[in-house]
Amino acid sequence: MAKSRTDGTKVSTFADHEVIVPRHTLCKAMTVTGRDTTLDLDAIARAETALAALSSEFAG
Amino acid sequence: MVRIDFNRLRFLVIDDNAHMRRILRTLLHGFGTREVYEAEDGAAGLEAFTHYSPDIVITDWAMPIFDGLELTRMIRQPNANANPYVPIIMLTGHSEKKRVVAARDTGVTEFLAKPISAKGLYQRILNVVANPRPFIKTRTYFGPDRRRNSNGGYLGPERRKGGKADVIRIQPLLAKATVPV
Repeated sequence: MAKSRTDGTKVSTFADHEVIVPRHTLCKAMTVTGRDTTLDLDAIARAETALAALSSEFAG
Repeated sequence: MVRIDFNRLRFLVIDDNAHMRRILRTLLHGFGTREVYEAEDGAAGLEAFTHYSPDIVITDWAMPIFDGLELTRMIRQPNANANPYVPIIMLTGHSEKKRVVAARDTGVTEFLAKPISAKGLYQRILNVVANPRPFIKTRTYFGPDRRRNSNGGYLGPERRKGGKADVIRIQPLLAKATVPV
């Protein structure tokens, strides 16, 4: 049976190992908007645009 | 779809190459991150990790003083005061299987081969945010569960049970498959 620690982690102890489920702190940054698992293409496009703007700085 | 609110995440980028740090910072800012901390070697990275408590660490493998693997070992101390469960994304130009296995066995959460792309980096970040894995602590390993998928039909050795491999015989299945003459 899993035991909870004061820091929010849950620990299940077995013969030769422990399974530790840490508190999911990164869920603060997550929003589920649908069931599909597609990527946020807008965010990727913004990052690619920013990278393209940077490319002139590395040119010979 | 899972959307990531990047401005709620703090990143630590550790790479000895200033251009690579710049590229990573640009990509992260492009995703919407505001807080990106940087360090140029493993020692400075460990200090920054303790000081800033980032949500996600992105580190290069080959670095001076101590490399990305050693840094990962230092972070993955079960009784450390700083967060030992922090997701670590390892970058490297070497993507041979033995390298990937070594990184995994050190406690790296995700592996990303160079040259990196916006999509590749986004996918790794999405994975650590949306699909966190439990941590396994044994005598020789402390890190994220190296089994990404649970396979109910697995019939091989159960290496976590007692230290020795217990081979599960599949004789009944083989017997069923034999066609009587």
